[in-house]
Amino acid sequence: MSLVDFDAPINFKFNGKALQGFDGDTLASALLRNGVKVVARSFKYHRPRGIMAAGSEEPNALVEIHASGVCEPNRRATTIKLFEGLDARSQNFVGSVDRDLLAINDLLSPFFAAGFYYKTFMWPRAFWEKLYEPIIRRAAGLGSIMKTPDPDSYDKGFLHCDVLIIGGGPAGLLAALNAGEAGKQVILCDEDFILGGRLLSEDIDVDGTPAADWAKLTAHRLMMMPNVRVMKRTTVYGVYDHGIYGALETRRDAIGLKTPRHILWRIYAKTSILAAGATERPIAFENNDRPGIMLAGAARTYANRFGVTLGDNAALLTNNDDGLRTSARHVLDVRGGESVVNTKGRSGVKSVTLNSGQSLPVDGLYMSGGWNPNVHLTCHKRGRPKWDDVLSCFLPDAGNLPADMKVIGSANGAFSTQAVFDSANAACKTLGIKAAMRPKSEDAPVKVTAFWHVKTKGRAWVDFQNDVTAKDIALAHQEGFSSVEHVKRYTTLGMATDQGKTSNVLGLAVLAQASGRTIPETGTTIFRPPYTPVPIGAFAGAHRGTHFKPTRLTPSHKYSAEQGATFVDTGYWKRAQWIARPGEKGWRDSVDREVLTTRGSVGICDVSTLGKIDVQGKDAGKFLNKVYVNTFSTLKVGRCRYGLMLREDGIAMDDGTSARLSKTHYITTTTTAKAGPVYRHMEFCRQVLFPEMDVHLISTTDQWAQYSVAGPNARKLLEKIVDPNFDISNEAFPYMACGQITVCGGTRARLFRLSFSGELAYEISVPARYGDALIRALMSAGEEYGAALYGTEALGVMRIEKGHAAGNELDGRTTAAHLGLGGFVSGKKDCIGKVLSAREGLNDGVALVGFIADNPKDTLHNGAHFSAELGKAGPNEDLGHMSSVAYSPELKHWVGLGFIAGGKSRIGETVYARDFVRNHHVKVKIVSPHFVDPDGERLRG
Amino acid sequence: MIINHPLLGPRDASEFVHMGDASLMHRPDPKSETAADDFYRYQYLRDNPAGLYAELWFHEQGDRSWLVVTRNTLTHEIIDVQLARHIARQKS
Amino acid sequence: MDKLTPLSVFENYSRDWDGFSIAEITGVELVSLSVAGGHEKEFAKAMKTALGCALPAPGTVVPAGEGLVMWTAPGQYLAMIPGGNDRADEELAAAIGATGYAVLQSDGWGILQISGDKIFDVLERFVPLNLRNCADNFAARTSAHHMAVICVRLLDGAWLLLTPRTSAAGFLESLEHVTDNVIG
Repeated sequence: MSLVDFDAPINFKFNGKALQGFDGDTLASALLRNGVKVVARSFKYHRPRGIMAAGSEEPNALVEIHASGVCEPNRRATTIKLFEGLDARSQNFVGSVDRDLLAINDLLSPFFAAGFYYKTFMWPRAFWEKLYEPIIRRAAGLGSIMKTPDPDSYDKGFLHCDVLIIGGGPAGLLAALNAGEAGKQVILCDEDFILGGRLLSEDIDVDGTPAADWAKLTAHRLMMMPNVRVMKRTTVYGVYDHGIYGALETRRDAIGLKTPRHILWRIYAKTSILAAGATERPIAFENNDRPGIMLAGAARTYANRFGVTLGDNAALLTNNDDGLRTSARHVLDVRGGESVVNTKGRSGVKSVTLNSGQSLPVDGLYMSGGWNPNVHLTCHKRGRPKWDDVLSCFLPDAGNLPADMKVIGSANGAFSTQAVFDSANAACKTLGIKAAMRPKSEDAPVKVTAFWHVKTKGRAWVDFQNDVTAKDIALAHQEGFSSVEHVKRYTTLGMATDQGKTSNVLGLAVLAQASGRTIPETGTTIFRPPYTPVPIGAFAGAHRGTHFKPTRLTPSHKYSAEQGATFVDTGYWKRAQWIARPGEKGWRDSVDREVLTTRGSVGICDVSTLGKIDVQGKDAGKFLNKVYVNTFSTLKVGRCRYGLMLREDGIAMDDGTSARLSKTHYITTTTTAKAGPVYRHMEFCRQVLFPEMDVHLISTTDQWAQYSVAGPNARKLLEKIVDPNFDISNEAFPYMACGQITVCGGTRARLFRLSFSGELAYEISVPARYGDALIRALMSAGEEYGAALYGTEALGVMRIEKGHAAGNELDGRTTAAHLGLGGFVSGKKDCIGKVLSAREGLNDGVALVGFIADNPKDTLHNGAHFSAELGKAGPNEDLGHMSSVAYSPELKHWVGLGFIAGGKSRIGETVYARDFVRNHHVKVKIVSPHFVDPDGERLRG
Repeated sequence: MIINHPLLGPRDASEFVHMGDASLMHRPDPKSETAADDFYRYQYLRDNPAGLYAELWFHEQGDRSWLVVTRNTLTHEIIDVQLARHIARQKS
Repeated sequence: MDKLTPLSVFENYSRDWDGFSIAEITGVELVSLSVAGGHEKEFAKAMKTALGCALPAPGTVVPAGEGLVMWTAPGQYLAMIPGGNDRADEELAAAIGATGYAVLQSDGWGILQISGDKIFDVLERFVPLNLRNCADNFAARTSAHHMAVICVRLLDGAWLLLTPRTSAAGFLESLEHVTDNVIG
């Protein structure tokens, strides 16, 4: 009944040795068939380990997959589908897996008992950093991590269904068939690459045919249904709120190919059926971890599904009837008083010692301590499973399942194949889904007697992967860590990559016995997603490198790049920071030139990134009065006005200018960074706070390309662009005017006479489809004036020279008064933030002023704090801080803006600017924040 | 998490931005004599219930409506979703 | 000065895979229309006259002459009008008068038409909505790979995807990437 295709050989390597397997093998089955016994070394003691299980619960056989210089660690050999060219290697050894030099840890085991790291490596203190930590780092962990980028690609997706069926064994297959025939949208997921679950491994019949054949036929029927989506090698790893499930689909194990290796799916399901089956328990006895000691069900899987001959002289240790299905020469049933007290054979079990004292030579040992329903997903929403004394296992708590989840099959304690099928049909019935068929199969009664461990002074393994023994659990209890949560963390039981699938229940049973409690009294820890490990790359999907976040490009991006601009990331935007010209040696050369050219002739800057919000309605002006501290309803049509926006707690949120295009039409601008939050805030005011107003908002940030044209020649340049029927003379279009115009022979445009730089300046905007053409036209028109394209650095220098507040000043702590705009707040009307802006304590006399160095050669540092004197500088000496600094090419020295107690009343005084981070302390003079053209004559020219 | 938008049906929470307590809908009267105290409470004092809790969400990647979602903070069940503007209009 | 040449968002992009095609739609104007408070009935009448359609319900799109009108928010609609006229908002504003307000949106969005029998296989890697099983007149805004997208189902089974202009290049790269992942 083997499902391996012996006509399709596959060549692979294990630890450098060339071996052969077949299509349908896992790495584990192929290794066993090739007689490989030692596959790994255990975590702490570096004991030789073999393959213990056949599925994702495997604790021992962790390997690395290698391909073209990269390595994926911690893969279970049992879940790697064998592929041509697989290069698999053992991990966690020094030397070779067969002769691990770190096996000395096994001899030192008394020093590595549970909690040893809380008791050792403490003294002397100095040894920790230089000696202990490096040693522990090298020895710790299982696999090793690559330091090179992950060469694989991953994807993510979203699926919707009526019924999500988790598990494709007999229960899941039948439920899927029923739901599919009933016309539901069905998704069926199974972690294996063949559907069928235990049907693939047991020598039983369904409706008179071999179970594996029934599985194959049913799977085929399902794959033919257009309303059923069968997803193999797909693990539903987590249950989330409101019917959302996380699933990881593994496309292949080969590394470094072009197509995605894993796909992470978010599944939205109206209802779900958990058919996740059950996992077998080992029994704890001394030296129960040797290679060749395996779970009984796994032995049947290897024999039946994979056609591996395991050996003809094996012993079986069982506490239940299901274990008796396994072929073994020697059957030891604990219910008859027999048990195993020890084993021999370091590289492969050679003999077992019975409790009678007899020593039995064997070539393998199979153990079955009973089966644990896989209840994990029922607990992801903090459900706790309930102990069943008769079945000797935990069952899902039917009263506390994640919304709408039904549990069927052995996941719900139905163990005979007939009981499994019946439970599937019964659950479907409660969902209003008819049974499509009623298969008949074996119906053996469950007979199990609880038997957890054979008491010994030696080491009896409970958690094989983290090397936790029954002795460790007893020690934890003895030291006072008796709560199951403490035992878990003190011993690390259940904390390895297998998350205790073969050890949790055994461990808490051992704890219960050691502490004289029942299992229900001892309780369980909480199961959390993911059920099995999920690669971090899968969570990232395609969002890596340049696709980690969106990139927004301005309308002049292409042109700026052609001109050699250096770009800076501002949120999602790429903005030109400076545009170097040939011969310039550093960014200061470029920035100084851009500033001097703009102030001396004309400069052009892309300001499209600033938020532009279209505000229309009868009450548009009234609305803006509510969100800004100053008044906009009085703004004339054809004029702009600066506005300051507060948060309701009185702190400055954002600033910008609003232009009035008509009685009912304003364009409001925001800073680049605050475009999203301001829009959100304005919609909150519109929809929730002032719903009676007729006002409508929409973002037009991407709709319009907008360029600043600034400098003494700005008007002359624009007169070459603006169509002649529009008068932009100083008289017709004064400072702060705005209007709708056309440019370049009829193209629609808007012109705003605004100046951030303090020069004679305009902002001109066109629909973004013309943005590229306009920047080229402006630069071409500007050639005769030596126009410079300028970036965010020059923009910043010029606004600092003028004392304009920007993001550094509107930092979420400052008020209108701090910014020197206290008088700007209208006394005649309410606005957001008005009431709390007047509260005591907020107005502390700190205000924005200018700073220059006492010695003109000194540089100024952003972030420096002011104190009256040098020397001690603590909170009591702190007078404020420097918020923005720049080198002024016009004044030929550094200028700064900052907040100081006493504000403008201190102009003329000197203080010290203290930067302890960069150890730079400078004597500074307090001056007006308006450094260049302080009377604003250039603006109005 | 899924928010059942009253007009658009169930949508993934990733389409929304969370603002906070629904009490933010009830902005105090700035002209009242107790305005300073009222605004202080409005801005800063909050209940933190283990159970039903009404909060404001903004459908940023959708229709840009503000919604009032009533959610059980213990079980995460959402029992009610309304357009904030409806509640606000009824109030005014 | 020479007249300014407009640039399309995707430079007239078009590409075919086995069972899937993407092509930029150009020469279409987008105008956002908002209903003036208290003028719902008059606005509906004005729209019927101006665009020849009834107002779409939430989450839907209606044909309007050779174009479409979709619902975008309570009291707000997006009209797609063929024509290449960058003053389409002013014309519509004149047509609806005091019953509403119009804002040009054509330049803020790029439009891609996708078609082919593998549409849903691609879209399920891109968009969280249940597009496989939605109404024939479905139109909704959501996000794809952290970027805004408006998905519009057309009568012939093709779809339109609208995405903001400034992040459009990355949007198209992402769409091509998931298509390559699905189809190869």
